[in-house]
Amino acid sequence: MTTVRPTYSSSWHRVCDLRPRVRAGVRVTRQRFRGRLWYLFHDPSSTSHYRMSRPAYAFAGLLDGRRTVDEAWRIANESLKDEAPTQDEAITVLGQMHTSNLLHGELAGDAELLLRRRTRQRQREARGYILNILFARFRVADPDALLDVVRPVLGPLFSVPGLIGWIAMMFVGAAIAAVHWDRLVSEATGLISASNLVLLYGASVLGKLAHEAAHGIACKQMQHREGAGESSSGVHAIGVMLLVLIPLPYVDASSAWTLRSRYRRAVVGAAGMMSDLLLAAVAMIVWSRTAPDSMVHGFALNLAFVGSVSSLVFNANPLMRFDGYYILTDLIGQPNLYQRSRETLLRLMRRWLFGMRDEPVLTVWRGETAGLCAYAACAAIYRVLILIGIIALIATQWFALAIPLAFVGVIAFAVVPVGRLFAYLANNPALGRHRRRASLVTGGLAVFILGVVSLIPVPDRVRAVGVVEPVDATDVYAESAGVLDFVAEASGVVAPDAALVSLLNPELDAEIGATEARLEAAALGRRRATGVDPAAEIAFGERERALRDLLATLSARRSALDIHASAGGVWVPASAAVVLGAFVERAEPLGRVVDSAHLRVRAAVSQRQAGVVDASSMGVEIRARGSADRSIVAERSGVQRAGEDADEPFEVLIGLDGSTPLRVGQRVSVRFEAAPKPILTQVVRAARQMLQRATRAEPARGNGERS
Amino acid sequence: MTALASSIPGALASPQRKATHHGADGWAHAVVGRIRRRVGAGALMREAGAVLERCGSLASSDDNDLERRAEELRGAARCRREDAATARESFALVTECIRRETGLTLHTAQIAAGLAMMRGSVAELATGEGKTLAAILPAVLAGWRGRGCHIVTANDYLALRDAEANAPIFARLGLTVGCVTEAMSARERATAYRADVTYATARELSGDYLRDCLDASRGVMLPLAEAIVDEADFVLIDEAATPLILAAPSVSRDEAAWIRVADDVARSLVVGEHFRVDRPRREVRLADASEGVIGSRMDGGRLPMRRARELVVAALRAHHLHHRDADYAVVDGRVLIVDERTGRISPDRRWRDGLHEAIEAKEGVEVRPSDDTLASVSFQRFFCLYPRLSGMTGTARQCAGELWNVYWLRTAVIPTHRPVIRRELRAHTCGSRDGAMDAAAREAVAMHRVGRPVLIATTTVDASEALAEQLSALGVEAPVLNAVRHAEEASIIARAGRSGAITIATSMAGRGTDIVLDEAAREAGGLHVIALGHQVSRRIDRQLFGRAGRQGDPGSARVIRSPGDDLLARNGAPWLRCVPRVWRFAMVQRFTERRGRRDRRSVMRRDHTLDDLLAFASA
Repeated sequence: MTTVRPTYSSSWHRVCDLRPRVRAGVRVTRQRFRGRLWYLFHDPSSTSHYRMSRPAYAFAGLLDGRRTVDEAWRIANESLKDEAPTQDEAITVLGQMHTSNLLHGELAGDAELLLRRRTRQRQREARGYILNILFARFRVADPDALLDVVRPVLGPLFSVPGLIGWIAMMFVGAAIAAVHWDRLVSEATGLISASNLVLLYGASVLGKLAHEAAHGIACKQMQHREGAGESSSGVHAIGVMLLVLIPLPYVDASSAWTLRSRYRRAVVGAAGMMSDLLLAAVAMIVWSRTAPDSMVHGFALNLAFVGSVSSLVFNANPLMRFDGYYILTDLIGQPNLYQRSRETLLRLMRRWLFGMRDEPVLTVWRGETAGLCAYAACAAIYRVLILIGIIALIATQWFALAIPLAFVGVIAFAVVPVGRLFAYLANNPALGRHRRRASLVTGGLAVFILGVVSLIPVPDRVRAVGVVEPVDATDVYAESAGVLDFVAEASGVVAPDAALVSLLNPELDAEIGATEARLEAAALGRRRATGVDPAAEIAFGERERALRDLLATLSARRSALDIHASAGGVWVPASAAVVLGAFVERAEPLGRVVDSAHLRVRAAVSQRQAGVVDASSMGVEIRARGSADRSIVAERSGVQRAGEDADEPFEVLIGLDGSTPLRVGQRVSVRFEAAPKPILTQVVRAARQMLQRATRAEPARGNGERS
Repeated sequence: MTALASSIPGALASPQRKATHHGADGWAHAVVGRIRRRVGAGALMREAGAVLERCGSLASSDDNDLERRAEELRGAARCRREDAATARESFALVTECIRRETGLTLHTAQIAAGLAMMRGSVAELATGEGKTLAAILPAVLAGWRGRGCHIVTANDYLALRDAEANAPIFARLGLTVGCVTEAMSARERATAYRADVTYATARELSGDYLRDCLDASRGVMLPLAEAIVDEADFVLIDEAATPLILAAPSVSRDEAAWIRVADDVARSLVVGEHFRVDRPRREVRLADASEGVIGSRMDGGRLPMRRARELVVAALRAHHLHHRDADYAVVDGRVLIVDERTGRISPDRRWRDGLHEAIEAKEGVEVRPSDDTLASVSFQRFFCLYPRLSGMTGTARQCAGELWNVYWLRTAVIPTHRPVIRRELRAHTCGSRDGAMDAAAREAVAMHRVGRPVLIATTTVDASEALAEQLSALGVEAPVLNAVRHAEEASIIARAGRSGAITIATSMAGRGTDIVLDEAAREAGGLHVIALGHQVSRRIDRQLFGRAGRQGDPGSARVIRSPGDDLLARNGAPWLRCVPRVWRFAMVQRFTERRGRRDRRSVMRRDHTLDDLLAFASA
């Protein structure tokens, strides 16, 4: 089915007798995109461009100031038939050309309407600034003349020899980085610290300046190469842009769009990153040749970091609208890739979800639709992720700043699109008879998503780190001091009464010998006195008994030097009981005999997570660190609070049954699983906890400042 | 032919009213309007009471005194002294003059309506409360200001009648009255517009405005200053999107032969196979299968395929969506549009986008070449050009939101002067169209027997004729008033209030029709209005009901409807069959109203974007 394009328009009378012409000085460039011809109008006195399809050009190209609009339209219609622009389309083309300041004619214009339009445009710009506060731009100067001077000197770098030289430099830089990798990594960890911020910013500005200058020079050089010469549109704006509120220089090289060859356009786009990487390579050389701790050394490192990492991670990424994006659009011949991909995705949705079969398909190639839709989806998700990332990063440092940022983010990424969707569904005339289905489908999807989010439970889990410990363990102490003579093999299973440790104590032996001797002497004395001297007999008897007691004690102490296991288990020697021949004090711990059949895990859980742990009726999953594939399910046995301070974690004990492969002292990760809850409930809980922490943090910091 | 914008030409440019808002601004404006657009009637009524009191004290002064007083107040008005005391004084004086001229003392409701209009609001005055006299109050003040005042009437007849009837009143107050009707020459019009107060229809006003724009030397109109719109909801809302078009026959576009071919092609196409019809939206969509048929029949000329399809679609719309004697009538070999809302023929209007030509081809009359537009302006835009705008109507409540959103007009709902003793009987829902017609005929005859006059309102010309036949079969003669038989309108209406009279009419008998009862009819219980099927909007229903029980007369009204009604057949989506019958009618009315609102908004928005785009293309 074909789209409805009425040939005639009821507003035609407003334009049909005008005799406009394309303004003098406007350059028209033919370009071929996606197998179609396009005409790019460019006004050198401004930075505006306007792209027009071939049928539209067949009409607009006839506007020479002598023909009326009506005549031009008729001629276009006779030559192109069905392809020709309809009257409405012709009016749109005229209006847009006028808006782009490309038309000239006795068009005094309705002053009031023009004024109103300007006001509205201002308002839109202001709104754009607010919504795009993260990426605002302010123009400062016109660098064209400067670039004209520099271009003959630096321009030739953008050539095949220049490319070879650049690749060589890349190898050198990469080689140095590889050789000094460890040192590089250790020094690079200090880059994010606050003390380095000034150097980092300085390096960023320098790098960005070189980057932008490279764009500008490349643009001039390519225009020169394409023979545009004097009439080239040049590079006319240099200024400051706010990238995530950080001011950095920028150059407007948008006139590169008039380049005919898309590869040349790609070179202009890539010039910035090439300059970044070149600067990084040079910085690597400087870094490796300077003394550590010198200023130059530190700055070189910063420069290398900014030039390589940031440019590869951000600039080369085609999902954000930085250089990578423009290079990609030039290489695949998809100008306005971002809008086009969004538009394609929306059209596809309108076509299939809203049943608007009349929607024209914009794509030409097979697979183009899929590619564009995938791009649109990735870009949207990526933008949201980047925003969340930035806000999270800022929230850790300046919470007060993060809240308005998050607010703006929510407005820009949630409220505005949803509002637009509502307005679209309620009012858009194009929706027409599909409105009911569109509303139903949208409402249905919203209800479905809300239902999934708020009704369908998903696992509610918390992870913590724990240590395996025995439930029952017999601690083994040195009952008497001695020198280590024997220690049973560590971690070995010992039977009851098996020897664990034996100590040697020569002093004790000597004392026993002496006591035995004194005991003999006392026994002899008693026997002598028997029947002779009853009093002495009693005294010797007393002495003998006392010495016998002492001897018994000493013997007990000696026998205690050989320590046996009181119960079976695993023998875990303490650190004191490792080196044979070492002296061990009395009552010093020697190790423990652990009941390997009954182990438990002791895990620390932050208070924030404690709620889930309390409710973890579903059980606990324990996984040994390092062996990801084996997990054990166990029961939670008890929770105890560890300390008075609200920030201190809870201790959770988890009983294990005997068959576990876990060892005492092993570190495990523990996953508590509460009854499944809908995502919404979980997100709300997390958000409330975050807010609570944030509000609680405020007075605490206030106290700190006062004290 | 000169290119011309429908925007303000230099000669008639006047300080602009506040522009209609769009987008988020419009939304905010609508929200603000929820609070601001209502005018409290209580304060107005109290003020009106004070005016009447003051008026009583003027009763003793003689005519010369009044004249002198009028001259003083005129001076004050010229100096833009517009404080409450002056206004009260002026209103009292006007009321007294009306009393002396006509013998009628205005009641508080009328004065309150006048006050509301003076302050730039739309006054809702219950049907039959005497709007014509109420409009004199603000008009006198506007006339005194010396910049002219246009009182916008529903039709030429009313313009002429009111101008003549009220001229003596205005003359007493030192004001001249003019009246513009279709037949007048430019010179007569210029004289009329230079009077202090001018009665005219919206069509004449906007037409003269456009002609003045086209030809700067014509100068018939003075700069627009103030308009008081009677039937404001109809003119400012229902008609808002209808553009007034100055057209000339197209010299360049003569496709009559092709239009006849397209008509033949359309007759041969099969619904479902070649095309689909979307009745509620008045759309026809071609299926792919039609491509071959159109290609083989309409190829070979210089006609591009795209245009051929357009012509066939127009022909299909003519055949499947527009019916003779419902949407249009054929009179003297010409296809004339029957206005859906007023039931009247609009002689100078033509459907756009080739539809009118397609219908001419369908009816086999001469296919007139399509017109080239010279200039056009919608009422919506036109009335926004007046620096001061106010209005009155019997049914403003339902469209108060739109009046505020588009025109910044507030609405004052004035309580009725005398309690309304019209009984609105429960709607009677029949099983079929014929059943409904029978029921209507029976009810009419029953009322006729007890001596009550009956007005039966049908939705189409067809239905009115069929009902007349049915009644005559029952032995009752009922005059018919519809778009085709409108010659005796005045006499039919004059007789409609007699005891036992039965009158059949389309919605023509709604707005502005005053059926005066005779004594016997009043005794018998007053006029009984039977609406055979709902009209397209609730406001038109209300206007019809409003014919009964005017000015304290007794009366009653009832809707007799069936699922086969035109309203459902033409505007109801198929899924509505699942809705219980009781709700279906109201839903369709609401949907239709909403669709109308949406259409008007999209017309307005299109105007707006086009203005933006064509800011350069103004004269």
